[in-house]
Amino acid sequence: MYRWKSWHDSRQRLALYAAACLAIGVTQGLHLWNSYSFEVAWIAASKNPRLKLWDPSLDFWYWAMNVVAEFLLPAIIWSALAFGFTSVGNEYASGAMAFVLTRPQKRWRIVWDDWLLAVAEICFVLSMLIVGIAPFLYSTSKIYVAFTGLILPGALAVAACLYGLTQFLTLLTGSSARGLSATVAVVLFYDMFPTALDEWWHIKWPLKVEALSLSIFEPRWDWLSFSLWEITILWALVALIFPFLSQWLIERREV
Amino acid sequence: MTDTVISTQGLTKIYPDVRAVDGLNLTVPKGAVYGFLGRNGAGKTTTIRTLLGLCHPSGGSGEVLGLDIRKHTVDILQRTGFVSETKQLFDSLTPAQLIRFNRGYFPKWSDALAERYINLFEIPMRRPFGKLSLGNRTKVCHLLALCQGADLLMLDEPTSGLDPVMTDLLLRVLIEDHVNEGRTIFISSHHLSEVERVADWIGVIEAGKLVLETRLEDIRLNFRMVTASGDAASIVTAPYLISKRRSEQFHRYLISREADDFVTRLRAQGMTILEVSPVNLGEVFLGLAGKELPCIAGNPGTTRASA
Repeated sequence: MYRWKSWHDSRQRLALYAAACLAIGVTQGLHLWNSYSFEVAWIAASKNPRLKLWDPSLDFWYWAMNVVAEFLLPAIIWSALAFGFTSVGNEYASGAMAFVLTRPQKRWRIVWDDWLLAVAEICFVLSMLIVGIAPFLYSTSKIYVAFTGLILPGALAVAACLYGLTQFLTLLTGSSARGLSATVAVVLFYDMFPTALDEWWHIKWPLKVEALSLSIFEPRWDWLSFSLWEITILWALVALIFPFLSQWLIERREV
Repeated sequence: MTDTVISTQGLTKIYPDVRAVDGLNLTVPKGAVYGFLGRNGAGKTTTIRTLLGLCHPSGGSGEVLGLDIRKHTVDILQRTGFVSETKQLFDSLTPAQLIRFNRGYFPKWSDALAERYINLFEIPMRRPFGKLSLGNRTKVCHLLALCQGADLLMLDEPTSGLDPVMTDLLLRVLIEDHVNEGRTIFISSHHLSEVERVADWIGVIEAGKLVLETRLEDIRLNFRMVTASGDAASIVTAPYLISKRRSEQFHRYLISREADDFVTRLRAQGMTILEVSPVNLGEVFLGLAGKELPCIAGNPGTTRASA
């Protein structure tokens, strides 16, 4: 039942964020389709016979993936923080936690209901970026469209991790605002500290640690030594730690 | 089936700065309306929260509906309707949505009763809870607790924010719809007149300890205030002496039984008995938990008699 309450409180935001991501996807798709049309027309008009052998489908697919990846990171961060901001810990600040915890249900269920719904909502929001671009991508790179979804699990793992962190810190601090502030501090530190170490003291993290960057799709790592799927699984494992921590906390917390 | 709905043995809850509940031994019989009284900070709300699993006890043990409070919280909550002191639910939901949310937890939920209370309490069903007045919030909290088919109702300050008409209505509903159905009601309140109207058992908590637990009928029939004059009063002790208060000329003794015996003892010490009068709940409460102004001339203060 708490899932229903979370759904009631978050559905409006879900619609807004999904619409925004869809609009970005469609815009990018239009741009992609325009460029593709130009490219095809240019090849057709070209008198170079070798150029006529070139199939731009794969290049356009790569381009589309990069475009989606570029927009995914801010979408991941914003949606995870925005949904995490109103997670179950917020009930402490609103004064409704006594009501929540006196409903006959195991406390772990509250945390997991909240977490599962939020991860599903974030998945929906992020997939809108791909849904928006997909029809245009289909007209340019038919055979590759099905692979576009492969970018989602990694993005979702990072988002679930950030959401779980926000949920945990909101529960820990008993306030949305304090939980969000703490999460932002952690994310900033996590994202910037390795760069700072490298810049100032020339200390480099091992490549496998660097691969756990927030922007997991940036092709700056040695993907061969640490594949995208491995990173995705690693992020997913880290993401699973936080709801367990939240569960541990809520089962001990007093009102 | 046990005849006791709530029982605690040495229940203790210690916070870093205070012993909120200190060795509480509480017994609430089945079918009773139990008025749980105490001053601000006496430990009433902490006791309720500990019984319902919102706080973890630091020591002692307790059972609610025959279930251990440390092990069976969910089962206890399934059979207990609770109205918290703060009357705070989800601000974003309307009362209609709160009913929808709440009924999912309780298989015995009664829609017919909910419909009745919505009309009776005149609850605005379409306004978000966060925009309701305190009185309407209180009504919604009661609606949710009363319709869930609970065996036990735990009401913490149940009439806060209610006008006299609604207070009267609520108390009648509690008696007619719930006590008559065999439910047990545990009311924590400061409003002695309201408690006196509905309760048949009284427990008084002071500084985390239960200082009185008795039938209200007992207070009416056996409790007496003895007013006497004389000098030897300070040495009078008796197991049934609850409190003694001394002014410049008079001594007032609150006793729980055996008034005749106590009067005889006072007379034997050379005291003059001025009055032996029945007491109401307010006088008993003040005798147990009352606080005097700082000692000034002519106002030497009240001492609680140790049993």
